Amino acid sequence: MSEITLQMVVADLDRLPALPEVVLDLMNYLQRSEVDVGQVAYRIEREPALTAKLLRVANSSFYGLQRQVGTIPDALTVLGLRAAHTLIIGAAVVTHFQTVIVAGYDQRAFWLHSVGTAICARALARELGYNMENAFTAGLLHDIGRLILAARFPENYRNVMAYRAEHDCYPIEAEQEILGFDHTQIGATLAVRWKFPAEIALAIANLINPMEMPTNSLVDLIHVADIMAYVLDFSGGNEDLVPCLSDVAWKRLGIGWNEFKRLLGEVDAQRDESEMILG
Amino acid sequence: MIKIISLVQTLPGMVLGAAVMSNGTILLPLGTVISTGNIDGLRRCGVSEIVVLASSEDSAAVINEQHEMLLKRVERLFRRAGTNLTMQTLQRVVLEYQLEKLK
Repeated sequence: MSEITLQMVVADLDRLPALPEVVLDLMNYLQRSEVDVGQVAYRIEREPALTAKLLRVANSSFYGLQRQVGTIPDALTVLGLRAAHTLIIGAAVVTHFQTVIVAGYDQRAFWLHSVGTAICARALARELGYNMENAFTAGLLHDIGRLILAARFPENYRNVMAYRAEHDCYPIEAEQEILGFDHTQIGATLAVRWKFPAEIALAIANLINPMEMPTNSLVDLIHVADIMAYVLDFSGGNEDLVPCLSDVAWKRLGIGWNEFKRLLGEVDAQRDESEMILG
Repeated sequence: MIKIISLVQTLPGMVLGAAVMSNGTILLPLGTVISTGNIDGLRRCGVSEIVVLASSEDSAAVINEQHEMLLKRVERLFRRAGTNLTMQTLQRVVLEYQLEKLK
């Protein structure tokens, strides 16, 4: 097995299937302060897989509708544009990466944790007045570099997992030890390539060292959302470890422990949504 | 006594008061002590409600077992927390949250 470098992995990103143009266009459009439901519907309808998924969600028992929703404009009315936005991002990204096959890697556990982090990030963003959509997307993608490593460099990543198991350490420590770099750098590069807002790439890149970043950034929020998803046991893996909470990030966010407990309860009540996104 | 609860409210250690069926197949038999894996499995099968023994019939042993499982799980998740004060507080808060949820 040959060694790999960060440059090699970044160069290899070009070989991943690109996110559909329609989805990128939709995400860009949804960044506007004022959006038109008709325009959003038009963009969604150009992507049949997304259309089907959104209709399925709108018609799921979660929304308890009396009648079937048959069109995207109706679905957007039912879900609300804001909820639809995060579902669209979630469904588009997850559907996209489901085409990437990774043998010997628990992809379901991976996505349960990723979607869990996205939901936690959205709850924190609502509480703190941050942009909820960017928080959700950053949460969803915070570990995507790990999936890319496991998919594109399976042999090297098997060594990472073996080291982690042997030392019972954090996966990121095993990555740094075996590869000399870690998945956050890859995820951040991908976010830049996909032209996501800069704060998303920054949050992914600084997942475990938020203290080195200026205050009031999405970095602190994603750092805490990742930890929340672990304590709420979204993936339920026996090897899971709660990452070390940065004292600096925690204080900067300014959430009290009682508020934190309430947020845990809020997210717990939204668990079913992760099933919808993964569906 | 038995009661019907939603899968979202189901906790590990609860005991099934009726078999869980799907299309004529028994997914879990009566009397099963439910595990986290069972809950995930049922969710995947689209089960939204189950019948469990009501709390008045839950033996003290079952409740103790639930506490024990929660405690062990939280300890396992925090096994690398060390002496970091913030992490110790987080662990305590999480355990409090989980125990309150159990009630």
